[in-house]
Amino acid sequence: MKRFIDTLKNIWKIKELRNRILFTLGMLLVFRFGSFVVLPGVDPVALQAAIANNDNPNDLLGLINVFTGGAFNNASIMALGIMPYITASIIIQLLGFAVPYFQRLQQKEGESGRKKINQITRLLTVAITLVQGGGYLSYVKGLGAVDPSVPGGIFWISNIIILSTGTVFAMWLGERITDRGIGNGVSLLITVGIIASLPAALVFELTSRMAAGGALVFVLEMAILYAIIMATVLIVTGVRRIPIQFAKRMVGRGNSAMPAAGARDYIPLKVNAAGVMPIIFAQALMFIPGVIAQFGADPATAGSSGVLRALNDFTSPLYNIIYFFIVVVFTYVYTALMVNPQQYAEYLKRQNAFIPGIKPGKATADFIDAITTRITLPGSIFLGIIAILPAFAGGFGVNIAFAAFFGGTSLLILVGVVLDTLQQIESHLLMRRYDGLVKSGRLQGRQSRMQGIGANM
Amino acid sequence: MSAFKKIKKSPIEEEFGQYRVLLPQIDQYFQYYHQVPDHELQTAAAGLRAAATDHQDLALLLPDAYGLVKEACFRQFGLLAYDEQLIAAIALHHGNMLEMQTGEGKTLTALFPAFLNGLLGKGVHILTFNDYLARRDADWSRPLFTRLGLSSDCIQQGMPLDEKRHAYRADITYATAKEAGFDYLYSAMAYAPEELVQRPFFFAIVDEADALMIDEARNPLVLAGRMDPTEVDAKAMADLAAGLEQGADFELNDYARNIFLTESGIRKLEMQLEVENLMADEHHALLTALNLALHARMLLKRDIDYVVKNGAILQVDEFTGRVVPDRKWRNGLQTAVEAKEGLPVRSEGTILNAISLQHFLYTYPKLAGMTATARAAAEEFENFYKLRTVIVPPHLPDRRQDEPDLVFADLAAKNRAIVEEVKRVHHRGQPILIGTLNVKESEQLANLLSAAGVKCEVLNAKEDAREAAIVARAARPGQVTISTNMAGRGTDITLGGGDQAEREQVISLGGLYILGTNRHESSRIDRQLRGRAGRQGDPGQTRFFISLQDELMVKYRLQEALPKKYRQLSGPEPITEPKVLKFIDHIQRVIEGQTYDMRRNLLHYSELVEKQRLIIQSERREILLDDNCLLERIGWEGTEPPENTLLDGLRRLALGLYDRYWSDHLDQLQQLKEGIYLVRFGGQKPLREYQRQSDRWFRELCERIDTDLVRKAALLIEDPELDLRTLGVQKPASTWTYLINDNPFGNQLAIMLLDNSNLGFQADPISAVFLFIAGLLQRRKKR
Repeated sequence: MKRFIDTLKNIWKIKELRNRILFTLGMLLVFRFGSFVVLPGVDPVALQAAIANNDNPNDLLGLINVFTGGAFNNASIMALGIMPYITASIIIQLLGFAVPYFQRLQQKEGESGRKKINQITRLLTVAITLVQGGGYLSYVKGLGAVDPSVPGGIFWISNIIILSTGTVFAMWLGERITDRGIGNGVSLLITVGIIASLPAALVFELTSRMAAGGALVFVLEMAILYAIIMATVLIVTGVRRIPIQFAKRMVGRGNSAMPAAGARDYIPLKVNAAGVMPIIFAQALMFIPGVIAQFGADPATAGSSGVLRALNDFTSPLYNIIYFFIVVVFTYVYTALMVNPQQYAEYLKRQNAFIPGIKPGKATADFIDAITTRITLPGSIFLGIIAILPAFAGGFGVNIAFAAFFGGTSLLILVGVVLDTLQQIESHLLMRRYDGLVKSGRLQGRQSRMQGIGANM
Repeated sequence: MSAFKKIKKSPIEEEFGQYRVLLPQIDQYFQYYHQVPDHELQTAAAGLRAAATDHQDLALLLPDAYGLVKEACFRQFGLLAYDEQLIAAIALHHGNMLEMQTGEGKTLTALFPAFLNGLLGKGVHILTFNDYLARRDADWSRPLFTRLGLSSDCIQQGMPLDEKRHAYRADITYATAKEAGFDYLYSAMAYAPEELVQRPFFFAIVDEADALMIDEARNPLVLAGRMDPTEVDAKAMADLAAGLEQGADFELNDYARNIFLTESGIRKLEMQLEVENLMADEHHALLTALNLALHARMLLKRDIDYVVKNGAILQVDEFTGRVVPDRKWRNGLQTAVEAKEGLPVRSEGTILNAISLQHFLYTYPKLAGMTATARAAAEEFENFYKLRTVIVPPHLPDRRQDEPDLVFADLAAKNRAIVEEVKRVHHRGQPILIGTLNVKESEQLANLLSAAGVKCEVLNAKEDAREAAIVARAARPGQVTISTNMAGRGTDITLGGGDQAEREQVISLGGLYILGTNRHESSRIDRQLRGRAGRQGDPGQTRFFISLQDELMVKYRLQEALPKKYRQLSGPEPITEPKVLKFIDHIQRVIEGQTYDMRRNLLHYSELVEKQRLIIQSERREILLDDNCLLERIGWEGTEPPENTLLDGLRRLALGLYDRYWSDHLDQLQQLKEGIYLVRFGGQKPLREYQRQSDRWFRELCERIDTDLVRKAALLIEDPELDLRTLGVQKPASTWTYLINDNPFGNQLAIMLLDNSNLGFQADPISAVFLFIAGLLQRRKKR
């Protein structure tokens, strides 16, 4: 704990790092502020009432609402959040698979290609917001939350422009953070949206448990949450190292005192290469029975379709079993997209690199493929467990809002992004420590070297 | 975003209001000095010197000093500096990057800030592009500085140490940037205070700045020692490599930067070598030697990358086109090339100390630069060197005519057209300079021209002794000169070669004709070649003859980039399709983008190492110069210092340890850098991992130096006769170059999404659908 405080002190002492962190916090604050500004013409009270009637936090819209930090349900100017930008980025990258032009831009053209890709991505973002904005406004209208005194034409045109601007603004904030702040801007904007509901959920959980006289239960909950987070850290950072050798330089020098370990190269294969995508997509799929149930909500048949009802209830065992298996299967599909053994093998071959004892080409690809398959199994099972944990937590009486932090996409994203941001801070501290040593000399600065400012953080 | 970019200040300056206001003041001083006798100029210079050493702000002395230099230049050379040159000279003093056209008097301009800053006696370095220019400029300017009571000197490759030290003591020193860099590295490994040839740096003016600070910035300066040759028979490897076929047994990767064996090639070699698995650990040296032999055979070409002279391999510098005597390839490649050429195999080079040219230039507290082609690189000067670019208009209007390129389908058609054009121009009597890519091409073209009955001179790495004579004649009537990039930069070609009548004749014929036979990797280098013509408002004409089969086009796969319908072009006539011409420009831009990325990566990767260097270097220096420090470090317990021979031995031991550990550290980092990008597969950032690892190693290194020093010193004190062979650091002699690339993967999407910091990008249900479909397709493809 003391080291933690020391590290914080050091961060504060370093002007550049302090400024970057303050800048990031400032930008995030602006983003949060934006998510409370309601669109003109929308009646917030009526909107809240309508949404409260239809409150299933586990449906697709609920999911989007989580990632936009509540902006979606607030009908705020940031309701579409940063997501259209993500969609655009991914589509442009996917185009690189199919369209030679994009492939060239991505791979061959360096800085100028990147600039062009960014430009196209931004344009596509705007296009996507125009479509999504229309969809969103009709959803809000459908909820009956629009002030009838506002003329239709003005409502549509102005609000589509506002929603589009909101997203572009969020995108700009994200870029600023990446550029002048700390961490990855887009990831942080998503993360801050996810965390937004944490304090309230935590306080609510605490007070309700205390009211029920269950202080011990609350402590137990916290301990379990801690254990889950630790396990998630393991799975997010877990890699299997495949040793690699380069055959393009002669080694073996007269007087070298080379340390044996550490200098070897390796490919780290991720245990969970698919990230959170399997859960996201599985969640989206699990939303379909709900839609069917809504359309088939005929009073005459409503009682008979118990299966549909079970599938619509995210705490039911049936729902969770299916959900778990979908996540496991999807993990394999997404891993196939992320890890391409042929490509790795080809790449190694071109670099005069190889896995010791294994021939380049097909043998190497098969080897990598076999290992990937082997390590994906535990990864996928863990991901499945993470996916259904919130339902379990709910089953044990944790309130729904707080239960979301016991697993699922929220936890994975939080852990991944926080880890990465900490690492970036650590890099800054590292550089800064050297600046100090350059100025004062290592011998004079030995004391501080031994303390290892942030080096072991 | 672009709207916000506009608000950012442009890195280019074309308004000189702040400098122009000084002109009347300078002129007042000039008018005054114009009247006074010679000895009073000296008195004035001495007065300025006293004021400068008395901590007067140099900016306040500037008008006086510049007026004085202007008059001195007039008396010495009969040259009267133009206002443009004075503005440029002021900009230089304020640490800017100057764009001045060829022949506008960059050398003269540099004299002004050199004098002003030289007054302090801290040493102004004028860093030139090659040795020839350093000597030429130093010889030319010496009388002027002498007249003003300042000393000036120049550094040449291979100069004895004490001459170098003397030259660096001068107020103004001309040297190539590389040589100054090597001397810096050399000083960092000095074993006696006398071997410290340089003083602390003060101010450098970099001539041909874009070549040194951009094109060559990615090539590190390396001091190399010897490495034990391996047991693998390099000759046998060369023979094996010669028996392999391109396509079947090995392939070249993109842009022909690397070469690799195919599966069938490996099988073939395994049969010939009678080994079961070439990839097994015990055959690693063999496989490496084979790769190197292939590399030597396919990627390093005689008369392009090197020439063979007196039974030795001499490398040709890629940028200056000159032979570099001491340069060697590293880690076995030199042996492989020697074996390929059937030469006796000599020893290998291994790294002792290294610094990138970029970081070397950073060590100057004050920096300025000048070149004819700064504009295109202005952003980079600003980002990497914090230099703003000042563009000085030419004094006389530019009369050079740049004709549009002629593009041919194949090499034969291009060569035919070049010969025809040279014959035509030669027939008129107009002098022509043909800029070729390398030694080989220059010789081939010379043969073609001789066959066509045109007499020509050839200037290349093999003929470098006659350089000055060939250049002096190059613009005389009827002269035909073929050159490699030796004449591409810094070369001043005077019309008529100094003869007034011939000058008039050449001018009436349209001046010097520059014919380029290839586009270069950067359009700046093309412009430099064009800049050989039309100096100081002279007429001149330039034209590039290129073909779709040129090396650059093949290397960067123009054919694949071209739309299908243009791929089958043929015939002797120039191609006029605008689309094709556009693609050629495009390729050049792509290359420029790539090399920019490499430089930026290099910068990021070396940032931490440079800090480590400073720490180690300052400690080493303390030991070298301060006996008490040395004794403290080895834990000397006696009350009296040890007698001199032991002290000397201890010092050598300590310094040797520092050098050895540092060179091992650099070598390790070099290896780490080659493989670190693989961590991207695990979602980590290569740079961050590289820094963490290098920090870990550095801390280990510090601890090991500390303990080793005490332990070994104790042994030496016990037995002062102990052989210090552990110090076996040999006299550094050679250099090599390398490239790094941080993002070599095809599948950008996977790289993007695997990155832990981009986890937020996965929180999008809509793209999850697209990605799912792509994942399904990918799995199907795999089956």
